[in-house]
Amino acid sequence: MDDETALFDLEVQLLLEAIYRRYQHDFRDYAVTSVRRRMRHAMVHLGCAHLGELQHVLLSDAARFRQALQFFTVQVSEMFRDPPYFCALREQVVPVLRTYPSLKVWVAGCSTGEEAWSLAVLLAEEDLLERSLIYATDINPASLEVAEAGIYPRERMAGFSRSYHDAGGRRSLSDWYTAAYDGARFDPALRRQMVFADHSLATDSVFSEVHLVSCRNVLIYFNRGLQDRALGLFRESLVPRGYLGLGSRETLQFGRHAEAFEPEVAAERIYRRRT
Amino acid sequence: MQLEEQTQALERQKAVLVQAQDELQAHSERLEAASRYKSEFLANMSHELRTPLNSALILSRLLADNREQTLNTEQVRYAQAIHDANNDLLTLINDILDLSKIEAGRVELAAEELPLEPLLARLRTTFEPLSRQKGLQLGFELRPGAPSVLRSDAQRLQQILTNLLANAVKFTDSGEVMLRVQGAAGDRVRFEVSDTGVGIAAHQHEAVFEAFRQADGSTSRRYGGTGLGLSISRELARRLGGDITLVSEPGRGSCFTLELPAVLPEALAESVDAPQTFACAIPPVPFAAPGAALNASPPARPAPRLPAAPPLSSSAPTAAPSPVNGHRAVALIDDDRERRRHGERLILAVEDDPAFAQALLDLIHERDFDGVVAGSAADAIELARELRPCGILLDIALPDASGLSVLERLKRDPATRHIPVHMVSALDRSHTALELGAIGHLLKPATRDGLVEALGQIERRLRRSVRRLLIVEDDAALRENLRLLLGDAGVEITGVGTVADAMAALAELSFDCMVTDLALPDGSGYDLLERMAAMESVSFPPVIVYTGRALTRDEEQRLRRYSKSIIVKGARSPERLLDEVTLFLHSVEAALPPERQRMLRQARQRDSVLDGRRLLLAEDDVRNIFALTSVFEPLGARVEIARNGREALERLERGDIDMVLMDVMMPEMDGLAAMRRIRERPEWRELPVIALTAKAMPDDRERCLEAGANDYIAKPIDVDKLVSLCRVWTPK
Repeated sequence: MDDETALFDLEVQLLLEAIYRRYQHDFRDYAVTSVRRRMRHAMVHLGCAHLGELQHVLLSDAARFRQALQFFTVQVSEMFRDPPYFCALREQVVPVLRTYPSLKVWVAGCSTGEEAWSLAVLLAEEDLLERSLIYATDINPASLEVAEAGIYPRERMAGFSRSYHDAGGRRSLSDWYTAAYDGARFDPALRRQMVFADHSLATDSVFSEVHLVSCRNVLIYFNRGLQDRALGLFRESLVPRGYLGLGSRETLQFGRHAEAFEPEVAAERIYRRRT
Repeated sequence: MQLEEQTQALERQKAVLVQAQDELQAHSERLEAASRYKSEFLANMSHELRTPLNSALILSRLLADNREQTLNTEQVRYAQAIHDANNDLLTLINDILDLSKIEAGRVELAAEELPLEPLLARLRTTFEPLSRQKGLQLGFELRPGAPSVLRSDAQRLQQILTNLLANAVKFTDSGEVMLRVQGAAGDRVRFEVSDTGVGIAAHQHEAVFEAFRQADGSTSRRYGGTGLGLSISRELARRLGGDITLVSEPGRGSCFTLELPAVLPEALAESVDAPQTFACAIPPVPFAAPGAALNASPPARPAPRLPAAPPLSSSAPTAAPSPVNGHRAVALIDDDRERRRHGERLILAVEDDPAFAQALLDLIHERDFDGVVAGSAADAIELARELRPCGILLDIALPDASGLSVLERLKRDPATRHIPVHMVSALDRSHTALELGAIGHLLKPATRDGLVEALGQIERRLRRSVRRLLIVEDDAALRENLRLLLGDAGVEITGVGTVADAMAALAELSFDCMVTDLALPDGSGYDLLERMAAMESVSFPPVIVYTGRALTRDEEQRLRRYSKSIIVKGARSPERLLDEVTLFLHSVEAALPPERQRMLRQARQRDSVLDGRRLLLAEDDVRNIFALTSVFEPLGARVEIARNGREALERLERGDIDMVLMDVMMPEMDGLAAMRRIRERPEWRELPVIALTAKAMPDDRERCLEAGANDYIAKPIDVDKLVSLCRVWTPK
């Protein structure tokens, strides 16, 4: 690592500490490479020549900070991303979920909500949504607003529909949304079974007992310590024999909670709490 | 005229006399009271002294044992000396206690048939070794005319004679010690203890009977002892309706004569009944096993120096209730937390008295368990969670909290609720303890046998490997299939098809788990569960509801009261049923405290502040609903549930709610929005609202308060903290 990068990293560390103290948003345990990238990204978007300038802007102006939050977390999300994951949920997990009189799902780090709405559609098609509750949580209020609205640009719908079918969708995705102008709005009936809430895997605790946690492509941005913390929350939150779904590049191996889970559909990173 | 003056003078004199008499009477009463206070103070004080002393004894013993071989010979000798000194001190304190007890009139005398020959034989056995060692002749003589049987307090009489003989042996270097028993006038009996020892000068004859004085200031240095033995003996003799007299000359030996009625007058036995208050203030010997109790008085071991204290002083209380620092002394006990040898076989002894804790630890080792000692309630909970012992012996009087609260918390925590807890306490709280889920209750003073049995009970719990499962299903074919599915070497299955048969089976056997259908020919599953809950004699195992149809939220809520696990039949339900049954039969969830006990408890332990209050719990999480309901209802509060903010507002409209516990994360309307709506209404402005949230940062708290919460508690909820918060905010 060259000197310049080392210095940059040091400044980033200080900035994250300052952000934590000023706003209680805790990015200090995010993976270094990703944070480095995010900061550069933020500097470009906020027109800052160097990190010192970014620091001044973020700390002195709370509104600008809220705006900048979107640059700190990854916003990429799609509906039915990795269709085989959803197929596996439908085939392997849903039949067991069906045996619970009521059930809860937690989409942790839901970003702009595509995954949460995907699960709502899936559960509705399985006739389970009526007795389900989906918690969709994120640290970014702006993302949560988008998620809660359930309105996505029309041009994304073609891709979403393809994934929906690949994921074993029984009908047409368009049955679940209404297109108006250049947006597509998901059925408000689905919304009734969803809770969107501000929750940080870095600083907050377990809020409810759930039967399935879906937390995909979130842990990769965390360092090992924070990964362990998040997995600890999932473990505590899940009912005995409850399910945990991770992203395709994420694994439970090596972590502190590896022993608490067993693979259920290994290829799709679906795990099950042992007891 | 003169006569009248004389009469008046006489009257005046008489008045003065009467007044003087009154004053004298008052004085003497005050004196008597002061003396009694002194004795009571001494009695209590001795207890306070004994506790720290017990730890000093144990620690010096451990040092002297030098197990780790870290001390040199010299240092071991120091440790031994500290130990011996502490032992002497303990003897002294025991004597002070004994004396003050007698002086305060708090000695229980029991008249019983007392044949003299066995009494003499016992005394001979006690003193023969030491006399032989000193080369003394020891003689016992029952003169003709002496009664063969007395009716008196055997223990106290033996205590007096032992003391007289001990003194005689102590102060005699050569020659003989004799005990003669003969009859005396007026149906009395006379015990003469004579020796050929140093003798006592006439002017000191009275002094030897006075507490804290010995015939010669140097005597104590030469012979040791507390100098209290004779004071105690004389006081005891007087209580028994007799006295002790002394004939002695220096150099010519001494003769102490105890004379007392052959039959203890009933008035004496009655008048000296120990008052109840005293019995409470001083707990009895905790554990009187020969050689097992570390705090046994010196005579229990062959000591080179026979103390003046009677050997039977071990019948005096030897363990005082520990003061607050008791657990620190206990913390120093060398238990097995760092060197487990018996695997799962670990007993946690919760006891703040170090001596008794050590005695328990010894017994635990004897039964092939590892033992860990906790001296406070807080330590107990922490160690139970951390070490997961296979059994717990639990005292009630702990320095920081009641043992019953420890029991309650252990039974509330899924991680510890399966651990069998046996109470060992001087306080009789057996009813409450058993209700809270203790497997047994042993009253102190605990005999060795009693403790062995308590450990045995834990042992049997441990060994019971066969688990019993009750299946309630009216479809015979399905019942058979379930039997096949759940059948396992370690599981004994009983299958029934009706509510009536289920009740009969439950009354007959205790089951570890029960699987029930909801639709039965003679009633619903709800009926069954409610009947089980209502019947005290029926055990209430963990229940798995296995139902053919989906349930409404209300039905589910209703069932949740009795069942933690509800399974809706479907393709994957057998697998889940197997999972859940396995979980209940073999995991830590196996011994859920029966719901019945919780319900019983509801009638008691009410909290004066919360009793009769209506709490509205706006919360969606089943676990929290279950936990908070089971905490608040026993305290007398009525908990109503709303599943979201909207339902909470609807419930508030109907009135009659004293306080709201508001979860922040709820469907339809979240807690923050609901709180804002509450504060918009003037009539609800004063309504206490406590926010429950998973968010832990200072600004999260601000957000709750801004939205209108009076206070805030973070999840996971610490129920004790929440109860305190509720007490604070409950409107007066």
